[in-house]
Amino acid sequence: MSFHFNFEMLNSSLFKNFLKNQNNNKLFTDYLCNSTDENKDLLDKAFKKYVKKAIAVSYLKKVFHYESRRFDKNIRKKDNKELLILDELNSPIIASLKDIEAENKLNQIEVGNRNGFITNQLLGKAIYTLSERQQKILYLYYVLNLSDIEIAAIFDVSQQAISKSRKHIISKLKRVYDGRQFNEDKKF
Amino acid sequence: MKTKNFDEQEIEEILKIIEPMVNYALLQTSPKYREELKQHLFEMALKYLAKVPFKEPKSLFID
Repeated sequence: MSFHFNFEMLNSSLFKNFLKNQNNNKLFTDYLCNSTDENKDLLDKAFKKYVKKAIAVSYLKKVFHYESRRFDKNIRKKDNKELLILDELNSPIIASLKDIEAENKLNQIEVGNRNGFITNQLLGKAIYTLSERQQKILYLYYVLNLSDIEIAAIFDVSQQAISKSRKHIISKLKRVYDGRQFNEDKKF
Repeated sequence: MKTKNFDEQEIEEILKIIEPMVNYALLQTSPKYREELKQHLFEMALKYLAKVPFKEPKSLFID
């Protein structure tokens, strides 16, 4: 008994690939040589299995591509959520480290000989009338050449606050300096 | 592992075929997580092969 081939399937690349397998090729040859019901069923069953496998592999290939991307995205998201304390830029520990750094800078200023930078005796005396904080601001600005923003970061205040303090310090110094000079002049 | 779609041997064959695809997909993530991803992809593949019903493919013959 002879059966009609489905030429759509017979001409497909799937069928060509199916025949590349030796067993499948043998089934096909067997059927062509002896077109029995049994051979037809064996060939058709093997072909259907092959097609199902090809569909599964093709689907999985696509799924792996998208799934691996999704997995990586989720992992990155998770990693960002569960940063180690020291990995976080704005963590309190990092902030405290910054404070320690600032404190060290201030301590260095304390240790540094501020008198060495002041050549004018009157001005030196005027500066000693300022508070410790005001002296530090002056030192940072005029000796270490730090900007208001950098000084603000050290004292953990706004840049405007430092700018305002500095102006206030200068006017205070001016007042004290002028007053002392006046008193010194009076002595002579 | 008996399934509606594939028997154990067929599943093994499919797993062999997809292994290079899995290895390629692993490059998508950092080496630290590749083992985890590999396991995830294989688990997913097994689940899919075992549970998802397939439409009967077209026959090679016209009835």
